[in-house]
Amino acid sequence: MTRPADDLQTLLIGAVPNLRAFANSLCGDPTRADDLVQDTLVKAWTNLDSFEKGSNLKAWLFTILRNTYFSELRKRRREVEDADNAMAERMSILPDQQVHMDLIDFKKAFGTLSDDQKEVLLLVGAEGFSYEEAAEITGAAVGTVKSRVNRARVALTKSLGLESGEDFTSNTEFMGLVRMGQTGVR
Amino acid sequence: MGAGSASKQGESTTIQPPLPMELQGQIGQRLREAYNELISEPVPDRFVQLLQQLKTRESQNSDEGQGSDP
Repeated sequence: MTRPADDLQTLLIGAVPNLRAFANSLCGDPTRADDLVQDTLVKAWTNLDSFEKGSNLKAWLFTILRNTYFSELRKRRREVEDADNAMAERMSILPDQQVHMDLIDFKKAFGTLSDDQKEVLLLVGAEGFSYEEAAEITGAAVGTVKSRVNRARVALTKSLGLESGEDFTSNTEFMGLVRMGQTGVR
Repeated sequence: MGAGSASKQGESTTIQPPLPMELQGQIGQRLREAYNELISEPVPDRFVQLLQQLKTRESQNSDEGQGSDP
């Protein structure tokens, strides 16, 4: 007798480290990230019917997580405008991480990206999803995903001071995002 | 589908030239480094317990009348 629940349990637990990393990188708040992961697991478990057998479970889970995140974000924004300020102060990196400066700088720079940019860069650059899969997950066109990834890379290069003679046009929107902090972005 | 439908989001009116491969590589490497650090964190018990609860609840539902003791 196969017990699908056992398999599913194992598969979901196996996906937790990636879901947490994604959620954490996206929202920058470990507590909220874990709540997101929890919501994702519950939704996945209770909506298993809507998962197409043979398709990519991880992609499906990431889709649930990002949809949960963005719909919460919209709700929160309507409810508490003031929260933006409090959240912006929290965007700094965790203090007790013994990582070298490069990585700290990187995290800081990453925190200034827009949510749209963070999302696609994580999916494609960190998780290794294809552009097509990332498009499916985010509900955006493949071309949009590609351009977001590129913009994210350009923005990171710029704020890390990595650019090599390349002259990128200054981007006022980008500076606006830096000022507003990561939850203030649209 | 894929071609040129970026205008849906109204965000790519200007064409940004792609980064040189070398820079893409540097960015990618740091991104994965930061990300892998997060992935390697141990899974908190709450998630193991949560899935156990979901499974238990499900098997109780499917057993329906089969009274299980508290």
